[in-house]
Amino acid sequence: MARIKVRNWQIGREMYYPYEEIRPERQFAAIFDINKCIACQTCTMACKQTWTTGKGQEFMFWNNVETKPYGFYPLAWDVKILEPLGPQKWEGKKYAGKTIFEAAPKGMVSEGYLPEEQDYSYPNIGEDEPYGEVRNGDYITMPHRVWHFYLPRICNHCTYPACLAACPRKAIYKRPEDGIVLVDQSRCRGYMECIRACPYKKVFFNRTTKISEKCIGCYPLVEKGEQTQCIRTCIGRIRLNGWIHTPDKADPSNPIDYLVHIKKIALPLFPQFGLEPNVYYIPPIHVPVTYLRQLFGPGVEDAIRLYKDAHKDNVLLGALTIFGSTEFWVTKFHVSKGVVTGYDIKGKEIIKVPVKEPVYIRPYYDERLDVYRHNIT
Amino acid sequence: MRNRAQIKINHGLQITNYTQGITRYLLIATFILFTAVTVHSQGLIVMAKKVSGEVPSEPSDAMWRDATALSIPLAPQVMAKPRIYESKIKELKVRAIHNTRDIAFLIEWEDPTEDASIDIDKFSDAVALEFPSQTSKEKPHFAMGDKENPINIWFWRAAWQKADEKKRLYAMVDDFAGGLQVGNPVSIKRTYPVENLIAEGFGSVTDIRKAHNQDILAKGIRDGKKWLVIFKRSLTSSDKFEVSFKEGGVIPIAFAVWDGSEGHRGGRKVVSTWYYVGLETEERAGTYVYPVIAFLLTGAIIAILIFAIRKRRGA
Repeated sequence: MARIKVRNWQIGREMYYPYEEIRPERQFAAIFDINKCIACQTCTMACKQTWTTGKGQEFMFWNNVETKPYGFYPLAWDVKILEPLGPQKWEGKKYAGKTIFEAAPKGMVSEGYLPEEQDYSYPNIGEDEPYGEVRNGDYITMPHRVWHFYLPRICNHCTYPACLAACPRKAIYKRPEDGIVLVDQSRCRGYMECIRACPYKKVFFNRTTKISEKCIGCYPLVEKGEQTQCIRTCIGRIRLNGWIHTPDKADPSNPIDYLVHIKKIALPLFPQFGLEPNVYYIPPIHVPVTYLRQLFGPGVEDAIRLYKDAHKDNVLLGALTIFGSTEFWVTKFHVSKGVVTGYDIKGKEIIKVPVKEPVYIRPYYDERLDVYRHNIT
Repeated sequence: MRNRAQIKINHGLQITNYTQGITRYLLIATFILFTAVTVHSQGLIVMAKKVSGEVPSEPSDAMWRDATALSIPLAPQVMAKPRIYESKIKELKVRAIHNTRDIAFLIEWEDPTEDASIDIDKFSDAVALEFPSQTSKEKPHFAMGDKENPINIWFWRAAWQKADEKKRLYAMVDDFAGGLQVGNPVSIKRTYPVENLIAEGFGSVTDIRKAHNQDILAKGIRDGKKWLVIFKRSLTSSDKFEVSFKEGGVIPIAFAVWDGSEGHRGGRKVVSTWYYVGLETEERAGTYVYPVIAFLLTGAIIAILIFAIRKRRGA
């Protein structure tokens, strides 16, 4: 298999990949605001109910929410790929280390490991376990000394998927119309090379059909201009679906481009692996950056600073307000007079939401009903 | 010497179809160079013993004792990624019997661990026989063939042999099982432990019968630390993608073995290069020897050339 140089903007350089750079017409993307996630697992259950209730899918979660740093699904997935990769360096915004393709062992397409059956048996292991101990007399500082946060995860529908690169049968493909990565269920022969290669461990083995399955990006919904099940059901309104462009073609009126490229507030997960993943995270502001830098790369400090100051920036607040305001895809937005307006895939206006919720103060005593109010705002 | 080589080639029946152009010259050169080793050429051809009754359908059949076993060395697959470089499986033994209607092969290899299930991180022991497809224009490359020269594979898997013995644990709808809905041959309930495949290169194997109406009989049993696997089929096949045999004919045959406990699956396997299977007539086996060795050595030279080119490219 050839080694071809491709451009990966997330690591600020060219890298090796087995196939040439062919970007889809439009690329599926999502932003998850970690600061707002409470690990209620509504997304997990919405996905599970929709797609993975079948035989052989009992331990399969295309969407999962894990507690960091000690929660994993499958067990220790991040540690088990970071360890063989070893310590690597960033030089500013340019990654000076090796991607999983560049670090491939002899005879393999990428660095990777195959999880064991037991690794999937405890999908919520490590839940709510914080880093550090609460001492007598402790008080909260920023960032927190004792901390944890929730990391919701789906398939990243990567620009350079490792699963696709590793499949010797070319049974995995990336759709040209939306960049969604799928496993061809009639072509797969269950070699599990994709499961070994995906560093995010988002390809799963179906124990009944003996072949691989993965998150399908809810493509039947996406084709209708609607957001995925995990995104539209999120009660914390932490998620947003949309198209993403490369930084040179970033469109400031597209909420995803605006947050990822213009503001750089949302960052990819483990960009150093070299897959150019397309789910972006707004990093948690209470967590020490030394840990976050490993997860989200060198842009973490700027993103946190920006998020803390978001209340001063009406356009940024407007973009963040779109999250959870509609089940449809918002491909364009603009903010004026304190109201964000969102447009669907056909350019039709679908939402108008105030950036700051107005506050109404009602009297303590309601004369008409002759009752006292517990809550006056 | 040269004339003699040509004559012997013409004795090779089907083989002559595979010798054209430069291959023929290489072949002659190879033959002249290596005539000295013909003494060992008996080790390159599996003689299918001709019998008058039925050919055996069981690996344990006493008839196998009279068939001559040929040892085939096996090497890790390093032609295509993912590659492997080491394996505990070093060789297999093959025997063949025919009766002018059916042909049966018995494959025997040592594998101390019995791996007969497929699950997350669990892989099955397996064995495959490879032949040129009838549609092959020239002798295919032993490593999975190519577009012009497809190959036919008979693929037995221990997990499929065991599948029938397993009971369903509980009932549940199959609506969410993509593999079952599209009828993926590795997903559906298997009635045969064998697949009849064609391939036109790495990553292209296709089950021509989708695991139904299988015309190959295959069965594997454990014998101590060994697997004994039998394949049986009629000599001729109406399907143009399948191999066809005839009495007195010589057909290339290659082998692959998978060891589940070593994580073997797909291209992670141990393989042999081309050998030959000759269907015994009243003639002596020696008739087949000269062309066979010539072809094999040609193959070896080509392989060395390819290796050299690859090495140069790699550097």
